[in-house]
Amino acid sequence: MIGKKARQQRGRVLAALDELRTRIGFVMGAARNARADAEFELATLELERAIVTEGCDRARCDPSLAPRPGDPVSTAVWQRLDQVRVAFGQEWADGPARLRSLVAASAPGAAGQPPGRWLGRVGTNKGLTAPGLWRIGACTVGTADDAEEFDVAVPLLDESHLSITSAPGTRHAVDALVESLLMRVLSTFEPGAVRVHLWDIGQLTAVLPNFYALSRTSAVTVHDPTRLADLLDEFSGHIRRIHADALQGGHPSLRAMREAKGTRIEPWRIAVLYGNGEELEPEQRRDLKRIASGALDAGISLIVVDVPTVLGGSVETIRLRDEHTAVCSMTGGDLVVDLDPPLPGAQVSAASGAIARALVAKQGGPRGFTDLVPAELGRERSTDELRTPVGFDEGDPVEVVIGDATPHALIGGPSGSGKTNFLYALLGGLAARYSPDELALYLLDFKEGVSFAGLAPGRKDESWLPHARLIGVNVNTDREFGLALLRFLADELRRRSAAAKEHEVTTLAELREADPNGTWPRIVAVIDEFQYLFAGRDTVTALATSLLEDIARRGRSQGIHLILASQDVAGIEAFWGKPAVFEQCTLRIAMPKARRVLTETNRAAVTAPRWHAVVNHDSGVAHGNRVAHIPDASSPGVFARLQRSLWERYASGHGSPRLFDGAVAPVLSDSVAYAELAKGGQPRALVGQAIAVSDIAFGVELPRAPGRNLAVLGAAQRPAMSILDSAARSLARQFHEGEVEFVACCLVDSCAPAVARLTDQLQREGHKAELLPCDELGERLAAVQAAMSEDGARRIVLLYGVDAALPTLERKEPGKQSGLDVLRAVLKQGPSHGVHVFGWWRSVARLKDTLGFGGTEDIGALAALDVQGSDLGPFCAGQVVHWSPRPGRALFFDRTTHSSPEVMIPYAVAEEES
Amino acid sequence: MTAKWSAAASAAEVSPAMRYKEIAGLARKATVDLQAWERSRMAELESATVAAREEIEAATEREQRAMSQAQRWWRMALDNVARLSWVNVGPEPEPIDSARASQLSRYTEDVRSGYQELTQAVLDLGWRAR
Repeated sequence: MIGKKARQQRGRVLAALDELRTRIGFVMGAARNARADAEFELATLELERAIVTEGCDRARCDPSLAPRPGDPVSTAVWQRLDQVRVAFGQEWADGPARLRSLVAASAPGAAGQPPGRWLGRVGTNKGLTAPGLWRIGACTVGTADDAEEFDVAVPLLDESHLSITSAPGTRHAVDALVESLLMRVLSTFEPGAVRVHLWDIGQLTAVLPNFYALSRTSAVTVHDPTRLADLLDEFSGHIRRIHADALQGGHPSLRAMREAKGTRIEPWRIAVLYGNGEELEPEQRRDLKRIASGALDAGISLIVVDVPTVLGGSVETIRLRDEHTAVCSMTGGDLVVDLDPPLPGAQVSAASGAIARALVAKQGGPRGFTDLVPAELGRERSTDELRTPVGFDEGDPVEVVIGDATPHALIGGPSGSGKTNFLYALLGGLAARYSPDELALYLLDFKEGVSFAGLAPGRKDESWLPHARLIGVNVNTDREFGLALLRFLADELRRRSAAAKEHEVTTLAELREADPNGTWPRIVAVIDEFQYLFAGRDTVTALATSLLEDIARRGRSQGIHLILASQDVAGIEAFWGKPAVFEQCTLRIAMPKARRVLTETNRAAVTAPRWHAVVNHDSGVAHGNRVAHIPDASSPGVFARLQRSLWERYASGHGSPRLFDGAVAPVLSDSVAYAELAKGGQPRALVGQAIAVSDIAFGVELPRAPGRNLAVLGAAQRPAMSILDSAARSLARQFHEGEVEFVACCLVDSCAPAVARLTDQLQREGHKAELLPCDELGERLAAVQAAMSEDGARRIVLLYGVDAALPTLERKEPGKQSGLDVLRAVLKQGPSHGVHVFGWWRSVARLKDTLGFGGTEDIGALAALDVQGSDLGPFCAGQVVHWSPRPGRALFFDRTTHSSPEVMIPYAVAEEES
Repeated sequence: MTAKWSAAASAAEVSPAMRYKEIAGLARKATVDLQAWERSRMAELESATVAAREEIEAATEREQRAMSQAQRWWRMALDNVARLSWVNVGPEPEPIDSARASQLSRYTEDVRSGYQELTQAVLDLGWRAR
């Protein structure tokens, strides 16, 4: 038996042994665990390495690497990777939701909503702004557990082009994508706000066949696959024109101009170009790149399909992977886009039909002249420019602007191409917008028609166009009238320049501002068939050329504008080597088949259809082309209705225009000059009407001075009678009864009745008028000669056919003066004593015979009829006279007032008057 | 002219398309960043795996060393109590699961002190207790 102490000692040994066992167990456990930990660590590292090598997203789908619940290694690794993923995706966490709300806000209505909500309904958006995004499909992100979907949308109008690349066998998917996108666009806006151009290198007509109904309207145009160049040219021109218009208005783009003006100016254009995966021809490639770089600012968006050309400007890409999915530059290459399913074909066709019908209804069918007229007449001011629509392009008005940039216009087109109709449309549009205080028209037609006659008061219609100050018709032979108009314009130019100088300003706009009480309308001078003005190589052509150049150069700043219309401008010899006139005509109007009005490379006029015109504000360069349908403005009654309205509105404040009709002889008693003749002053014998802008007459002043006789030369009886008749009657009007004596002798039998009527008329007016028998002429002349130095009375000797009297007058009796000597003496000395001879010689030679060696100074004034100008030199102060006989016209020269002979129109003879 | 227009366009406010791309870009950025991390992680894992293998070798060696050392301690302990007939030595030491790998050195020190305690307890036995 052991004691307590020994038991305690043994107990300590046993306890120490147990403790040692335990401690050795810890050592063994720690060593084993360390090894196990290292093995676990290696396993996780190897798994993680396998996962990151594969890529986390793909590894998650790989059965050998995918998370295995219960496997501590897999669990540990995936937990760690998920934490990393979450950390990296922190910013994107709410991305899908943000994209959904962004698309909902930026692609409203048809732009982003499912087709069931809009397909088949006609859009109502006025087109002031365009949706920023257009939906094409959706994208799903995240794992199967937390998958999130968001809309995929692309920018288009004003924003970006689209480049679509197909995969093998996905053409119909591309068609569906394009069709869906276009349908969204077309269904968003009101009809007419968007135009689609389709071009497919591989198809003639069946491009997007569901749009067939729209292709019959301006909304969709299918282009010839072989004519890409034409389409690109059209777009180039459109871009340049829009840029010019926008920049001129200080706007950087069409969108900016639209926003500034608060109205849709131009429709958007979308061009869908289907290629075949091969490069375009180098020239077309260059053009396409150029267009792409400027197109967006001009409202053009391109959708190119399988065209490998890299476009300029902003471009989004869609690359199809298969029929249903694509990769899009909007979402990046990592996200796969599930494209929206194709729209049901039948519904697209029906929707196209609905939009087409709405478009036709909106355009209201073909536009008429009344559509050119504003609701309220005369509301515009011409301070800065004149602007009016003249026609329509697919329902949209096409304007003509006459102002700083386009001061003068050149209109060309063969006969029957509609020039006159265009002029009426233009004049109607302008007259309806501007009051006569803002616009004055001077209208001249060199054709043998009477284009503008209806604008003056007539027998059927008493109204006139109140804006017209001058209307010249039937002036094809009276080139002098064109010259007179140019002189008038040149004078007006000087008058305006002087007024501007006085107010220390330079332009019409400034002058109107500085002189608000002045009347400074813009003047538009229209000369139809103006080439007639330059038809000859004479002084008229030379003067007209220089005047036209002067007005063309300086007219712009003073508000004087020329509108020159012609069949073929190139044939005008006077302008060969002088392109300045045409260069100033920056506004070009080419009627169908017009030649040389546009630039050589611009062939728009060749293809322009009937009743259309190419309106070009850029000197005829192709990019300025606007092809407009010109409504019928010249049929009977069309313009007259507007004219009547304008006449009722303005006629009281504005007189009727001066009408110059080259085919109608003026009537003496109706002329202003005749009406203004008064008794008392210096007598003046009127002989004919001057070819001038105002109604003025040529007259022979009859002071008591040598040479104041009048000779009428030529065999033409009627005008000769007219001239002498006018001279006598106008003179009679200026004398009181008994103050003047008329002595008439008619040596041409056929004229005798008319002369008798004249003397009767003069007698009725209270004057002493005597019709001598032929055989008493010599005797009477001697009496006149004897009396003239004694009584000094006014006597007018009217001799008809003096040449017939010469044989008798030449007879000389011994010791006496012959009758011819007496006549010579009367011619020489008579005028100083108030005796004037108004004689008609039927040939120049006979007049020379009459005068003998006395010289030609005794004939101070002459009116030449059917004689040659070369014979007249001695009577026209030795000048070379360009004159050949013209029916109804005479050449008048008064050496006391004229520097050179001028053409005049004899008045209608008395019997015609009656 | 085009340059002028482009300049004007750039001055315009951010368009929906740009905002869309900006947001969609975050997804791409997350993906790209993750991929970049994966690439850099792969390189890290290469060296870490090598180190882990070496660590396993070292741990295995340490384990073997610790086992043989533990057996030696235990045999020495058994030697100490071999002449004590009343001592029932019990089972061989077994690795303890809860042992911490990182505490091996301390555990080893504990064994040393435990053996000394045993030796001292045996030395302290009186003749009656033996």
